Amino acid sequence: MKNKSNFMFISMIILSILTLVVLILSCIHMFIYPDYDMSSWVMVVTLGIFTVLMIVCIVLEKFHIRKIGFYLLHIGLVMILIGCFAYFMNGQKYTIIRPCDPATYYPVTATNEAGEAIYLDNMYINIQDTEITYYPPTYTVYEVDTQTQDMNAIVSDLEIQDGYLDLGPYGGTNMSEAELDATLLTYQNPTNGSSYRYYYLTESTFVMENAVVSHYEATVRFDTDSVPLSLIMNHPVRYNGWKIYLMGIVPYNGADYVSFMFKKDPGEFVTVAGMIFLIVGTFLASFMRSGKPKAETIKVEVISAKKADAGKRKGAKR
Amino acid sequence: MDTALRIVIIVSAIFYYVAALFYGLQKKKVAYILNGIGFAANLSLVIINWVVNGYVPFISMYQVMTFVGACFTVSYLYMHFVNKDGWMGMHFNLCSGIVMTGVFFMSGSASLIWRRVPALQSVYFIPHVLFYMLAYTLFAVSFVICMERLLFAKDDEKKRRLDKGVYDVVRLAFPFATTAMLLGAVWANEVWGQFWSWDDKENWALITWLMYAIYLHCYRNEKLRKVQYIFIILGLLALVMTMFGVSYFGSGVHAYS
Repeated sequence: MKNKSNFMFISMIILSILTLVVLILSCIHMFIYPDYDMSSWVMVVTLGIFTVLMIVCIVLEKFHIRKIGFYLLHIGLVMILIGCFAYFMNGQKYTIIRPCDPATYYPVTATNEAGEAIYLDNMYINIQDTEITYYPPTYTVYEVDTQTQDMNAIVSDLEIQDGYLDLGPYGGTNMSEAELDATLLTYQNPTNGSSYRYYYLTESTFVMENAVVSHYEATVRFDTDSVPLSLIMNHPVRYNGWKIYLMGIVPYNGADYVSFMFKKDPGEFVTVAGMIFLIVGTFLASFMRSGKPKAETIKVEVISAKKADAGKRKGAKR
Repeated sequence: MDTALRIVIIVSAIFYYVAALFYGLQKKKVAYILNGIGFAANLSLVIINWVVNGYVPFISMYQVMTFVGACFTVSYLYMHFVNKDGWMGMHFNLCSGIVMTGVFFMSGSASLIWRRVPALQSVYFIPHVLFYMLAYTLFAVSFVICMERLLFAKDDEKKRRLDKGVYDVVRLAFPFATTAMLLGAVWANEVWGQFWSWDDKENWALITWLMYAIYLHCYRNEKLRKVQYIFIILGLLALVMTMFGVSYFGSGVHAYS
């Protein structure tokens, strides 16, 4: 019992150290050095110690069916950490950008951390079609501070009502949708391909269109004999041992450039299984113990009362 | 519309506060009625937001906090009827009142146009946010009970009852926080190709979870019970950082939350 108590104390210390490490690294990432990579060896070593401690904890705990929640949640945590470690050591992830061109099969090549070109499993990719859907646009009036050149939003989320965009006092414009379309200028950022539409009301105020994407879709084939697959964001597909994600589509110079992520995660199954264990385990650990302390208290009180009565009777007989 | 909404918000907050007062005075029947009226006003705001969106009202901090306000009463019903912890009415209503007071000042900036980007269009979105809200409401209540225990509890019986109360509330919240965090991880794996990005929001959610995990370990050990409330207090600070601080100081994949 004393050992168990000491062990619980050590668990608490290790948990506190882990929390402190996450806290310090998070503050570094947040306030000091935003490019700091938190999946560093400091974190891996701390999580490694944490994993070993949990394995010891599982082994030392005497088995009882009521403790099933305890077992599941701790085993689940260990599985998650092992799965993530397997990915950390042996996982592969590459981002690949290719233009939509139904006539061309591009080799799936990427650059690894050492800067070497890698040809992923001799795969080809052919983008047959793309689809980008936007929500109805909204418009914001900005004012430019002539001294600092800062842009301050004055009116946000203006919408076209009954075919007209009413800007109110800002330029006194009541513009129809068609007039607005003809007036807006397009600016395309040469570095990332993003574009926006705007026009100036006065020298220091301008209107900008906010067009938010509601849906990305790309129809692709990964080899000449493969069936065309429809890729949607949030719905990755599996092909040839790779999990393939649609990350986005950017229209640029008349073509749609599609961004994919190719990923191989040897620990994915173990991680997901661990998550299920952990969820089930925490629910069982939390809800199975409900009422136990009260029952014990009542039992102790009843026994004490009986003993007290018996003691009184004995005393009276004497 | 905005003025009408503000009136409903403040009515809801006032009824929650007064209900808390009557729970404190042990006048439970009056407290139940006042709590019910506060909850009805709060629920009407949630329904309005839901109807205007055409989707669950989780667009902005205003909508999320309005939802959180209603979560307290729902959680209290569970604690009252299932856990037999009806005495916590004051703590739950005080939290609802504080949250709705905050909502009152947010309502001016409430945006009712939601353009859900493709990354947010997932089956995991609703359970992820909902479970976090349930867990965080209960964590907030555990903090209020903890404060009563530390500042006002004099006799041992009351101390024991409040100790058990904090534990019961955290024990109920913890599985929801765990599920919310893991659903978020599964979702992240579907949309960004990794379970964990070490994003600011994720980090602080993990720190919050760890704080309450440490508390649960402390509670279950006689020696460590002396320090248990440190982690309830630190847990709430981490929770506030997760919900509000990260939006101001942080960046990353949760920029729209």
